[in-house]
Amino acid sequence: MNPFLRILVSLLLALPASRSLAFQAPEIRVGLSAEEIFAGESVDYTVEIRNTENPAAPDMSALRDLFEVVATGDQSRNQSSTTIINGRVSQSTYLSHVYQFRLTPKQPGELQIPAPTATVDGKPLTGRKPSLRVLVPEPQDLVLVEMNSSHLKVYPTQPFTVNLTILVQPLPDNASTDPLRPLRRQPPHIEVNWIDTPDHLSAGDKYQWLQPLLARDSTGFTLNDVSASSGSFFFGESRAAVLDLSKGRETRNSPDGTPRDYFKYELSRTFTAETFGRIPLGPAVVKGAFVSEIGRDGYRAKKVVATAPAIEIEVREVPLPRPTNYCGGIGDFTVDAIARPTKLRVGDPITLTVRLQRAGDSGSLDLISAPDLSSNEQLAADFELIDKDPTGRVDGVTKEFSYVVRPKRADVSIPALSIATFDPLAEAFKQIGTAPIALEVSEAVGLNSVDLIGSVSSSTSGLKSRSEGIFQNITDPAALRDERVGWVAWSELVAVAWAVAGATSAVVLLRRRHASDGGLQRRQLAKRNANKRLGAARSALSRGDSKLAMREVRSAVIGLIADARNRVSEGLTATDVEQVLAAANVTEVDRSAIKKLLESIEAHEYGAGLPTDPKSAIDEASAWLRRVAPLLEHGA
Amino acid sequence: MRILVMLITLVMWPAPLVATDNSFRERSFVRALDLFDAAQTPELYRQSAEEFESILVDGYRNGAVYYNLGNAYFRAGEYGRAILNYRKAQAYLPRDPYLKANLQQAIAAAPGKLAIPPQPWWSHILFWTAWMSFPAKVFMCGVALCGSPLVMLIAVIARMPRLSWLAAALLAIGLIAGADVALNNAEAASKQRAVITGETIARKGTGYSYEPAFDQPLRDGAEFRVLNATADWTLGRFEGIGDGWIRNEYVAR
Repeated sequence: MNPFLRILVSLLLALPASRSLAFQAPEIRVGLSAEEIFAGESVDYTVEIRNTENPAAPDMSALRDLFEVVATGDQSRNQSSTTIINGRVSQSTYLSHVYQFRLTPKQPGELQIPAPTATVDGKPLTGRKPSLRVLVPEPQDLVLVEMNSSHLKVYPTQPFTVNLTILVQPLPDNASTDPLRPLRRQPPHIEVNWIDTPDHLSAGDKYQWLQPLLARDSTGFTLNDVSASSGSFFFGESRAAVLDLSKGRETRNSPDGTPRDYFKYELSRTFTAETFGRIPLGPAVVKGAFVSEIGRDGYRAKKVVATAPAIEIEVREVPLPRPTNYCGGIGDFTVDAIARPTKLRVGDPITLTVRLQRAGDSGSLDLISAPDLSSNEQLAADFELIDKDPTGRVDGVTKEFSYVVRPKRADVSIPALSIATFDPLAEAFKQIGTAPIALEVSEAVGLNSVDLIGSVSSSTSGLKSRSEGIFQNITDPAALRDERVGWVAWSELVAVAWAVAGATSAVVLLRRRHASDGGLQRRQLAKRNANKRLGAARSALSRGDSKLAMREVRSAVIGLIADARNRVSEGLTATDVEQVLAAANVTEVDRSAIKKLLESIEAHEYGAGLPTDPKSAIDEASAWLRRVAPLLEHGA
Repeated sequence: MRILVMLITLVMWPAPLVATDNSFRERSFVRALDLFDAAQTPELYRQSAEEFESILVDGYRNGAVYYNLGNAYFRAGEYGRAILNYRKAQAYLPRDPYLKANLQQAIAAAPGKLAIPPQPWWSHILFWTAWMSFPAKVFMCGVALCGSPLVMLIAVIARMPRLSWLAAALLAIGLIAGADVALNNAEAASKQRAVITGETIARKGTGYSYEPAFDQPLRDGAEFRVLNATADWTLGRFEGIGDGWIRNEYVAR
């Protein structure tokens, strides 16, 4: 069978159940992560709605009487597959949506968890009712657990610290050794619900908070599902992180009233309230085997579960009525102001920076908005406030607002500015203020570069040539020239300039080179000079001077050879001519003819009779010239 | 010789090389100035800024418009956009003392200002770079590169070898000016330079699910260099703090 087909068939066979599920009636299934927990602990509860698409979340209201219910997410587990075998298409669909919750019992005992309900296609569905046994920890004084907060009533942005304190009795045989040290193989466990930041609160990064607490020798507590690997945190990993929470010793009274020394462990986290309301934190549970006595074979451990009841943080709203200059700050703040420049003229802008600085543990700066300076009557009377609501800038513990104001007249100064904040400790509004800032404001008779904003140096001559003033626009439409760069035009222009200059220079230099080359010039004029001489021969012949005519014919032939090869014509013999012509690939016939002609002319010069008719000699030389001259020019 | 005269004419009068149609721009310019003068609220200054922006269509560039645009945004309280436009204007009005002062004022007022990047090493060599406008640099480069071959040609024709030194000097000036233009390309820089226009969180990837890139949000006026951009996100390099992706609605370029 084709492997691809085989896979498809396997998939088809593996999903018969799901295929059948697609046609089953909708149902709700519930699951519980544990059947027995201690009071204060939580249990994971899942509600799976099957055989329907996109079901609505189940109604969990029936559970809220017995449990604190926190939704921890939901996910679709729908699956669908299509198989094609021999052209036959079959589809199977599995529909499932799982909602996850965390339940924290409000009371101990055998609890039957009420069934969740959901409405599917208009019909109500109900799941089963699982049981959960919630055990009450036995009274004991081996381990004490307490949870408290630095503030139980806070205002938004006000930080508060939650402390979980665990007290453990010393070892029976060694009061100075950490009682958790013998428990390193199985450290006790802490379960508390504020490791992940609860809703409506903010806190620092969880990893950064827990990293310094990581125990180096595995002595300490494990916490929720916090895991560690190679010193770093990875939630959900198998190896639980052990945290060193040791904080020294503390004495407490035992139930019988006798003081008892305990080892103290503490887990603290600082939160900041973000919105109003009541926020429950806890309960906290510590469970594990602690050393209770010493036997023959060593320490004997006792399983202990200790809980601390939940606490509730009330986040209050800043009371009404609020002062008109209230800036939104909650906490302890100081304020100051800076003005630049302090020496200016009427109408010149001043940057007035108002800085609110937060004291150590005061609230966040985020809620602080720009103080309304226009409510300051003196400032509004003396200055034009250009930007009434500038954006604040946070720099560490300071938030600053930069206003731009202009003095309306001379001899005015920035008055003291008063800003209201809310003191959460005193639960009252508090006025904080800036000191007055003296200015030197003179009448605006003209701009002086020195008096402009300090960034401009006094040596800048341009300041004196314009009268618009700073922040004044350029108003001349003539300034609206297009300042785009014509890249293509410039490139073409440069290319043309180089091409023209290069070409022209090449032509000029070439011509000069020709002008200075005598051999070249002789070669170029060789044929013309030869024809001239033949013309002279014809003239001489017409005058009846046949001797001169023959001499001119010889000069024409010898001259052509000499000019073509840049040689001295006077020394050339008929044999030299023949050699030159042979080198120029002139035919044997032409070579012989011209050699014969030259020899007869030379013989005639030395007294022999005319070998041939001068006219025929001129015509023969002329015809020879036409044939040979091109060969001599090309072969130069 | 006739070609030489034509070339010199072209070099000395490059304005016609660029098409100009300023009538609608002049009307928008005057309208924007009127809006600016009448404005009393940030919203009205913003309207003036929009009118100035309308002048800069089709790649049109003008230092005065950028400067006025910076002023309008400054008055509107949008310090990031003000800084951006003052910086653009600097390429065309490099010696304007008002522009310099206003830019420093905007930077001082911007809530998101970051560390100022150090001057690049070559700015010490090209010491005049902050003194000349970008178009002037291009003009100088073009004239020198055109003049060099022409002077060389004259030297050849007139048999004046000493003029070849002048041609070489012009060529050197043209190449140096060309390097300056390449390193300070205002048109290229306007594509790479950007600024944050509102409070936003830079992230380590193109999505809200990515971790914040910095421990604090970025705020109006934070300048940065664009490294990459998608349809929705821009990757920026922020001086002194590093790189991060920002949603495009918080970025002005």
